[in-house]
Amino acid sequence: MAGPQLFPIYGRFVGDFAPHLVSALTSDTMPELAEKVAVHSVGRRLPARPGGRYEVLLDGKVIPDQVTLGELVAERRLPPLSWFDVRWRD
Amino acid sequence: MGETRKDAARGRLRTWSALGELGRTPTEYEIVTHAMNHTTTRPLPLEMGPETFGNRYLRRHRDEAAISVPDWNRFRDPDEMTYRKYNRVQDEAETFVDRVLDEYADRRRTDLGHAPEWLDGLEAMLTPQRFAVHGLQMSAAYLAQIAPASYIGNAAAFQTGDELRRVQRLAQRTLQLRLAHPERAFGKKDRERWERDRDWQGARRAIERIFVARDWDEAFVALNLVVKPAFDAVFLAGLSALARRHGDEVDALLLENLLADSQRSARWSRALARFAVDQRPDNRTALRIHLATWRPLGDELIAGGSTLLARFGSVGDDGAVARGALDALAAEAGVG
Amino acid sequence: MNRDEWYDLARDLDWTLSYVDEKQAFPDEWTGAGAIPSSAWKDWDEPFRASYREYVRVQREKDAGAYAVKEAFKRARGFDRLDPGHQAAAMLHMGAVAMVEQMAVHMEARFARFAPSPRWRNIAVYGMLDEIRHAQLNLSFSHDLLKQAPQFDWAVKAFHTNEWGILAVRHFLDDTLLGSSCVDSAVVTNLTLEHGFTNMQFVAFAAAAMDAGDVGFSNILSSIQTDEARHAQQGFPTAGILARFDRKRAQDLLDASFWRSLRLFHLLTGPAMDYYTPVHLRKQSFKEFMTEWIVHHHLRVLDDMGLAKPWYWDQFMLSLEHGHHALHLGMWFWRPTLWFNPCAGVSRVEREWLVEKYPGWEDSWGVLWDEIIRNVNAGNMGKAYPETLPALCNLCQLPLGTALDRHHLRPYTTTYGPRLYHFCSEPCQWIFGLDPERYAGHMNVVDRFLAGQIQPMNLEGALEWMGITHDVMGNDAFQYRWAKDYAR
Repeated sequence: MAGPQLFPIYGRFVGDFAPHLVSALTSDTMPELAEKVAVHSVGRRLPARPGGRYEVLLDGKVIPDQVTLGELVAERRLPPLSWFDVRWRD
Repeated sequence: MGETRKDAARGRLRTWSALGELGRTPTEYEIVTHAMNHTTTRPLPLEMGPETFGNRYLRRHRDEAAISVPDWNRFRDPDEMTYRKYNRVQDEAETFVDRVLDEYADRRRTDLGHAPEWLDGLEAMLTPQRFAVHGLQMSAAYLAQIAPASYIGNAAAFQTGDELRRVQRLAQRTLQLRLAHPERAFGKKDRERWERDRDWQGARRAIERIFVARDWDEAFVALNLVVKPAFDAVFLAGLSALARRHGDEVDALLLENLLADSQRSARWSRALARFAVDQRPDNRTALRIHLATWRPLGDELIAGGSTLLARFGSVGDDGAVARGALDALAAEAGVG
Repeated sequence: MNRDEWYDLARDLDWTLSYVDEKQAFPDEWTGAGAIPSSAWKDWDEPFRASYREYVRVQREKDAGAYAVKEAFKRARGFDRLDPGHQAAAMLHMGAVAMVEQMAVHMEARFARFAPSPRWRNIAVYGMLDEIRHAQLNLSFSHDLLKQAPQFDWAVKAFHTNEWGILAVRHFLDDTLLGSSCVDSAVVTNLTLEHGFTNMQFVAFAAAAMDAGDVGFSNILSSIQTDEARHAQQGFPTAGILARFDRKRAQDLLDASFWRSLRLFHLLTGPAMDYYTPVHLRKQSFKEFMTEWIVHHHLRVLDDMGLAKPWYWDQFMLSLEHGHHALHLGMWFWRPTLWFNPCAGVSRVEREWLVEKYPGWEDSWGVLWDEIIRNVNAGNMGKAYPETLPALCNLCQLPLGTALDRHHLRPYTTTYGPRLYHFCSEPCQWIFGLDPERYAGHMNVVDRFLAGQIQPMNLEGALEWMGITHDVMGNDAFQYRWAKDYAR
């Protein structure tokens, strides 16, 4: 069985001025993916929110936490560098 | 030197890092000419898709040329021509020609004193040159854009300027002759002569053929080692001597002055061929193959041109002199 | 002799080729005549006349003056005492521009060989010589400064590297100066970039340099500009003929070249004007400058040619509010990837100026800078640096998000063949769509990174791949002293 694969995405934290290249893993759940995206913006150009949680959007729709990137890629035939949005869940 | 150890420790550069370890102070020429072509040192010349026209063209006609050396940036033009130097040199040359044309042709109207046979000669050999030289100008510009190093491209660019100079001086002479002899065909039939006179066709064919020589090394050999020196030997050197024999000091002096530009071209061309052969002896073979292709066209140019000169009173064998000049150039270039 | 009397004899020099095929001698990829009939070129008339004789005399005199001033100020050795902001602007300019002048030599040489009119071929010879002059003046000036500032080595070195900003400049200019037809180049370069943008840029920058006390730099910029005004006019007759015979091509070409020039200016000019130029010396904001000079000029050109405003005009006007602020933030944040030290340009005083000139600045940019400032003041320098590459546009090569601001940030994508392409804006996406084959094979820096061309795959690997050495690697020009304005 193949292990987790690297899968590059463009991740934009909503409110920051630019998306970033993020080397995610196919095994990443959405919270794990969100962290990998947020680290480039939150605490760098946007204030952190103590206790705050993230959510991930693809094509404007929130993706449930337990879905992995690999499942999304397979299900929607996502190419590398697909654009993901991450934002504060409120 | 690029930097001494002390300089390196202080992060100081004495000259461009691209010049590396020269072991001496760089010349002004090197400072403003070195490594100024960023497309020659990478597998993909242009920052475009690999299969775009520009990349394919440069790879095929420049980077995959038959002659190659480890580093074209080691070539030096013996005249060390910079923009500043070029204008200084040419401004002085132009001042001289101004005086010749203004004082003699304009003020003293020397054109009025020429014999009809010589006026026939000028109609046949001087004023139609404008077209030929425009062709030489175009091909020099081709070299300027396809050359594998800025040291070579700049020399070709200055050569292009020289040809523009020549065209304009010929245009001025055409005007002066037309004003002095309005009943003649100066400036009216020049294109026809260029396109139709049997004795011009050798030159026209050679000059047109260069327009489709795309590989930079072939274009260089064709233009600078064969066709231009052949043309200039006949229509600058030969015609200048003939003009003098006919008492036409104006054209003799003008053409002699223009010959200096031609000799400058020969100097760097000779040096470039020598450089290529010194850097890689196999280059001699490739250069000789190009010469073998183009020399017959040069000889035809010379034959037609010499016939023209002979028709208007040239004695001696202009053809042999011109061919000898080509032989000498090739020999001095190390590719004879 | 009156020049006008012999002028036609020197320029009407076409003849019918007999010994080679015309299409072989003038391949359309280099000539670019396309649908324009050959008879149309008989009317091509250069906007300025020049004789070679006048040229060499005038240029010799000009150089005597320019180099004399240069020599005088070289001896003064005052460059490193100039405002660090001005130093940054000068280093950015030399690295990004010196080689471009030499590339323009090639373009003009292309005109001199392949242009479809002998008159154009002739006039291009002066352009070719002019550009050699510009390259050599820039190099001479930069070389004099090497001992004081190694960053000026980038006047030669820059284009031999993979520095990301330089690659962006090259993506546009390798194409238009080295890989395009005469007709396309004349419209994109002479008419739009040179006559529209850089002509004004040189004037403004020369004035700014003078104000900053850099007489040497101001002197060469002004001197260069006197030539530019002349040879940039080559674009007009060509564009006029193009507009008459192939209106759509003319419109598309002008629209594409205007946007691409704008993006170049967002990168090179905007940050220099609004962040590097010392605030008390700023005469105009980038937006004011663009609106007064560039917009006005371009609209007049379009009007003269009977063409319409670019379809993206509203987006263009909006980008004047934001694009360069975005690129400045990006350049500063990714400062180790620069070959010079950028100013942050957001001290309290500077910030007041920015807010006055750009009413939306606090909401679009101030919020982001505030977090950076907090980190600097708290000593969290790790957070004041990036850990990855930004997403990049597959057309202009600049980061996604740098055409507008964070509130307008959204994806623009095109799937062509097997690849997904990203764009910073609708106009960049549109340009790609005009000629996908021209752009589809290219890999931007992110693509190259993912393909394993940058090793090791970290910041150090990237810096080495970009040719950034420790003596030039960018850091804040004022060593973050300005952040004290905000310390509690």
